[in-house]
Amino acid sequence: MIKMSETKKTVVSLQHITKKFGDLTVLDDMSLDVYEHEVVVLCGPSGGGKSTLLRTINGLEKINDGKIFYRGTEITSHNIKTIRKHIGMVFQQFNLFNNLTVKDNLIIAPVKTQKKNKDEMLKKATEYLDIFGISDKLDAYPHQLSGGQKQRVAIVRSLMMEPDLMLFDEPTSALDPEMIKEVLDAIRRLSRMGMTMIIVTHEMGFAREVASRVCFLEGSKIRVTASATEFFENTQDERLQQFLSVILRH
Amino acid sequence: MTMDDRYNIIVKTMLGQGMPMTLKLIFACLFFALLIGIVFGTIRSLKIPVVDQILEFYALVCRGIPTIIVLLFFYALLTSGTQFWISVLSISLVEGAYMMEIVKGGFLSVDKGQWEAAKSLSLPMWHIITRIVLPQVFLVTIPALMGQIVMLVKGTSVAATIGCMDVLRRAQLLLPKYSYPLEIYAYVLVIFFIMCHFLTWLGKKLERTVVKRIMGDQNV
Repeated sequence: MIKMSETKKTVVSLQHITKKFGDLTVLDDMSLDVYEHEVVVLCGPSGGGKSTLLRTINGLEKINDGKIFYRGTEITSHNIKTIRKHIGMVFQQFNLFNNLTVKDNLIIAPVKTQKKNKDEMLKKATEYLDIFGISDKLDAYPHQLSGGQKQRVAIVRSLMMEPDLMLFDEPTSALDPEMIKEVLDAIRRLSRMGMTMIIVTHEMGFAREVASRVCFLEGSKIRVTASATEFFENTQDERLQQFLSVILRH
Repeated sequence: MTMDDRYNIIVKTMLGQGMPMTLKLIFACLFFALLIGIVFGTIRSLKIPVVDQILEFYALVCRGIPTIIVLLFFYALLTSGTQFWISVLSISLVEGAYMMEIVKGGFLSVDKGQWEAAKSLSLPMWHIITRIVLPQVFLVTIPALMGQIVMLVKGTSVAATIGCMDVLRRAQLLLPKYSYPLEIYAYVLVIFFIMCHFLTWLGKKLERTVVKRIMGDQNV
């Protein structure tokens, strides 16, 4: 294991990070390295700090202590805007810009922040929408889309920035069961493309299938980190066994 | 009063001479009140210490005093400046305070996820506000803003008290010549009613077409 991590390039490295909301410690001295082309799944009970951990990586939550490195550079309030350009984020509530059409949702960031050519970006947007099966929605407003379509547009919106790392914060939790599959398929596609991803999800079957590693977060700590097979089949941790027995049975 | 008199009163004096001033007042006040509303409403939504308290005090004062008293105060205070600009200043300050509160409320109604998504895409603050948040603020506040604009249109009539030659003032100047105050005021009443009713209709129309097309049914 150690040898492998030496040959792989680290994309994100969390070192002893602590995050508090007032008196409540949400992340307590957590460390985690994520390597290139890896899919890391974070799971665990609510309130365990999964979403907060994810949000600290692109600076949506400020940490109280510890350090976060992106490709060897420490993330600070000064460079976070530059680093965010390389990190895509997909939210539970989609957060598509309500006043913009799908087309404008997709091109606004590359055109405004990366100063890319608008026509080229439109072409790229159309290609991506085609890949994800929503090419007919180019001129629709978000309210005209189903949840699954919204989330796929949100994924494409992140992809338009050509991210180096993608963060998914419970991407299927706000979806009807029928729509979960279409979003998971989209994420599977990214995993086949070799995208480095960190995913917070309760979809354990999916985690088992795509994850390189799975982390179990509970009580503000990363309690278990293991490869998917080891995590689901050979775990020695009693609390994790109990969590899995409940969540896998239902 | 003959039909010729009526024609002179309504078409020549009120609409011909008074209306241009009333419209000038409306557009000037609307411009400055919206400017105050948008700029300060945006600033208020950022909750900057001290600045926010100052703006809150401004809202408290300007919403707590009748426009006519603000107008008379500035008329007494300012020795230079035409009646027109003193009226524009007073009405804009008062209506701007209301619009500021509406815009601030609109900002609060925009989901925090919109900001987070925009930030995570590295959009510059200026673009987040002008391209994403402010347009949504407008869309959700159109009913309230149009209501306030109607109040502003009605409110411009106070300018007559310091001698601004608007529709009302022109009408008042006719009173000594004709002994039919009821009829003359009735014309003023109808003119203002038509303007305000048109704006109310326009607001509803915008809500049912533009807002519905972009934001869907939940905001209508």
